[in-house]
Amino acid sequence: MLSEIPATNKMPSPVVLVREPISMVVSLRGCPGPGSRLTWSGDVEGDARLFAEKTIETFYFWTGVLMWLIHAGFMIYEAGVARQKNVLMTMMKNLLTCAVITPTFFLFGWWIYYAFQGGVVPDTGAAAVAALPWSEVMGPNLDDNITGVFWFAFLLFSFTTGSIMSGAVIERIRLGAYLLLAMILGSVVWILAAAWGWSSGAWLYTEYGFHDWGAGGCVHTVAAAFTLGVLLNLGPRIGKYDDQGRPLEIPPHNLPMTMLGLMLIFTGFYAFYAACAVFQVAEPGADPEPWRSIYGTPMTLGSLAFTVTMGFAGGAMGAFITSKGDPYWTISGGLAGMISIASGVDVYHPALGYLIGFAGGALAVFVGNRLERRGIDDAVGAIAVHGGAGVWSMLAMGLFASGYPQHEILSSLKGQLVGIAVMIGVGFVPGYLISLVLDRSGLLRVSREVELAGLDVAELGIEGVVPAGTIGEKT
Amino acid sequence: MNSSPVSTWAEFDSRSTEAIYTFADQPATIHGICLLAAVVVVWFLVSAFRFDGHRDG
Repeated sequence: MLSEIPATNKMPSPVVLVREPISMVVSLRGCPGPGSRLTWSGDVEGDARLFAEKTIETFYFWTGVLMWLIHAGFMIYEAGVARQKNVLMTMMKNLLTCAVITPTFFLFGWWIYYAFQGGVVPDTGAAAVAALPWSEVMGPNLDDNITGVFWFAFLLFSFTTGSIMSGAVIERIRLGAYLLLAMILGSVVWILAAAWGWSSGAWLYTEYGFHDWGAGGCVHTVAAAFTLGVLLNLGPRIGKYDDQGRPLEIPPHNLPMTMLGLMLIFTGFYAFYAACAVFQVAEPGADPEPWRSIYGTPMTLGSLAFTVTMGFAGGAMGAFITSKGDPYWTISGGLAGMISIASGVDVYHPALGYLIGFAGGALAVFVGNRLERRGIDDAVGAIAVHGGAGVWSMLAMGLFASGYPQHEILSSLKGQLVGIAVMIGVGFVPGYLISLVLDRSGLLRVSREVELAGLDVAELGIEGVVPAGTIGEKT
Repeated sequence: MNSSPVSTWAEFDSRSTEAIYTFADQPATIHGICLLAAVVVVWFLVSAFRFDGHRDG
């Protein structure tokens, strides 16, 4: 029998899951009610529930820790792509992406997620209030095991959006401009899109049956669309196009480093996807709870073991064929494959996931080449991989997995098309407008002299890659 | 295309429901998807020979 002790904290956990009916809110902690807390009573059921709660806390904590591999991977990957004169600044941007998004996501990003699930008018309900930075659950709280680790997992998703943009803009963007854009993308734009399309109360889900299990829309598509808006104002690197506007090759300075970075990203993405699965405790006396999607639909963790891996395999193979064996695109295709299956990981048959991943990897190469020919200098192919595969992910869900019950509505192609339009718009418009203002203010791009000299020496005063045996004066 | 083996929320959220993957109630479709995946793997292997040292392949 469970012991209930009235707790001083009367605020419900902001981590809530809406199940059928939509208006019924169930705490992830599975406690008898807000403000009550479980104690170690010695009875089997109560102790099992306490153990389950600690397991949930531990699970999400470690998904967040393992997701740091994504950012170690992005750092290595992008540093490998950059020319030697820009390696250190490229890595600095990756590092500071995480630094600048963390406090801003704490101060307002988490609140945005809970306040805007219904649309553009902020909700003033208990969940939104509990997500404010001065709430009792937004800090160490013995009555709440879940808010901190869930915030942490979402924070790592936020880092990912910033890191998607960081590679595309390397070698010519000003550090301050980049960090401002990364903060807006990571702490405002993507989390607003998540509130609208990737939450239990998301209006795209409740009104259109939009289904995006692994955030192919709010993370990948939004970040890519934002990046496209920025690149239109930032322009290409000096030397990327000849006098006739034909693209020239700026090869990675260290392709093996880039490939290793992507292997780390692959590893971290399993944790990313694991964090997309909701693990909760059943109400006392109820049947055991299955794993659930962020929307509350049932699933298994095994589905991502099957389908994410099959998607990776398909993506690498598809990109290998369409790029005619190009190493850079082949490994990027692996990531495109893992993203292509994001929206329907929970329901795809693995062989279908493989085929969808294959198409996504092939598509990424095509999109990357088309953008390059149109004058969009995306140094790492981020728009092709994250945007192309992200949009394909949402579309494939509508094409191949319509008809799944989403509480009171079915998944459908129409719902997915609405979601695609919203995700692209939410990402592109702020990215384009804010970077336009920065550009007109002369704050977006480094000077020609700095770009030609390289950002490491010109802005950091140090070379990132120094030939062995070099001796210089101490500064 | 409607590929869900369940049609209602009650059925989807039921402990008695087992396979929930796409086309789980259409074995012939699943066989076809698996066959197509096998064909793609063969295509890839043939391509690997073509591109091995022959980027113009």
